[in-house]
Amino acid sequence: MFIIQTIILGLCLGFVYALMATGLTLIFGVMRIVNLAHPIFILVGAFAAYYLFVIFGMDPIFAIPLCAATTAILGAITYKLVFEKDAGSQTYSEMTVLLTFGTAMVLDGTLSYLFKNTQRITSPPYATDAIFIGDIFLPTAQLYSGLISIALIVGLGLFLKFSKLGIAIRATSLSRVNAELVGIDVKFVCIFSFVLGCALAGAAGSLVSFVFSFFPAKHWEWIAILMSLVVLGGMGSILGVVISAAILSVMASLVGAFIAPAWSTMVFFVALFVMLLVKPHGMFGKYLE
Amino acid sequence: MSECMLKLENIVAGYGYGPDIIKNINLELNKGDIKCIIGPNGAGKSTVLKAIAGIIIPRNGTVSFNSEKGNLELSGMETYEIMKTGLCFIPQDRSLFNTLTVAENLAMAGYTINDKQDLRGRIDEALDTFPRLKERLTQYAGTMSGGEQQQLIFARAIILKPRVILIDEPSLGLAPAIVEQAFQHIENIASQGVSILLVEQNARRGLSSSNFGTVMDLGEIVFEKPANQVLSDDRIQELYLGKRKKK
Repeated sequence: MFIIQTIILGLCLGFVYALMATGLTLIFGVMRIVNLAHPIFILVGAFAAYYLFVIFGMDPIFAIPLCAATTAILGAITYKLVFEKDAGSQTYSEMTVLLTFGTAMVLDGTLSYLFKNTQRITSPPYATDAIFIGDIFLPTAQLYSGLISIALIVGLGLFLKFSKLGIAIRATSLSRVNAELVGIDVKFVCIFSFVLGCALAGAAGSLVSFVFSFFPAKHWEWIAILMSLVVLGGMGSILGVVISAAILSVMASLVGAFIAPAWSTMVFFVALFVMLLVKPHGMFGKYLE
Repeated sequence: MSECMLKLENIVAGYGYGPDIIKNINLELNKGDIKCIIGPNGAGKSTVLKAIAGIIIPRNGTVSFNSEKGNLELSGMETYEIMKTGLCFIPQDRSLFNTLTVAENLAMAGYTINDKQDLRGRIDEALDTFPRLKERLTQYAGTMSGGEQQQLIFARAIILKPRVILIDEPSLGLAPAIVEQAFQHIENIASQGVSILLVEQNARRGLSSSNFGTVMDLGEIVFEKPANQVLSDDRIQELYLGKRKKK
């Protein structure tokens, strides 16, 4: 029973990680931006959820649209200021590593200045509750956040699969030039994807705010895990991210439960190390030209 | 004299900060004509097409296009805007989205058409022209054979009902039988009044499907003649056999 419980909790956590990483992989896939600032956007979402809860008593789950809107607006501003000018340049990906690193530092500094580096966690009633199914003990916070995460990812998947704009986003991620040749406004698709990715970060932030305790410098921890998930899944592949997040999270939970919690994060990096040796372009990745 | 669809005047273009690749190109394309640009490697043939499509922006000169909404000046417009005006460009490295399905590729070809009913009708028409694709709708474009991919490329082009199609090296990397089919498609499309500007390395094959041949060398047009007279011109020997006279 303990094993099943550990697996379910690992899976829930995995879906949350997957949601945190989908925006990252979407932005990379479409625009070739390695967005090191992605986790700080998640934190902005988390802070938004925290203060909406503390000040207005708003449930973080219902605050998801507001948190997503906050980071979407912040994302649009960041894009206009930092990324738009050099889009299409040959060394864009390399350049964006530095640009997004800088953006992360600036936002990190701003958050630390505004909110101080103390640990926070949103505490709606279900954050400390749990349900029992037979002998299986499931904390509702993890359960809800996992289910909502996977629902959002499925929603995103359906949008990308079936809507016209969604197909255009996938077409653009395959080739900017060919997308332009069928009349797709690539600049618009890029900014839309970036803002969508940031909105997903905000939505994830709102869920994270009652699952993990957070503080402004927390994003440095996350970027390592999220980048390893993105690389494992194959840069730009959302399905890859979901699968790698689910598997690794379950493994991390098992390691945490049966060996020692301190070793659980190791799972992500060992997996990354092995993947880079065996299949460097990841599970579902394509060779990049 | 038939209607002029595309007119290039004094076009100068090059890549990045590099030198001019094409200089003072003047070219006209009439309705329903197939014009084939030939010339040795590095003559700037593909660059002419890219300059028209806005993939590179001409440094000088004008490209005027006789669109449905009247005469349009294309130079300076973004590629995606040009593609909405009724001009279509098929680049040499295949413009398909390999990991999108055939149906998605067709839908994307009609990206600029907002009326769903209209788009549906046009896709059905294209599928009637290329029935083979009907069986492949859910397959990824990149997993089809070279000939089928070729069909999809032309199906995508006719969905837009363009007035002018620019085609860069249709024979590149294809088996001889499929090259034949490609030129058959090109002739069929042109017979419906679409003008085609073609760049072809295989000069003999390209010219045999065309009405006009334009010969380029070192970024300039050397001469232009009806297609069947091009290969017998003395200057062709010089260009292709390397007996170039020093100026």
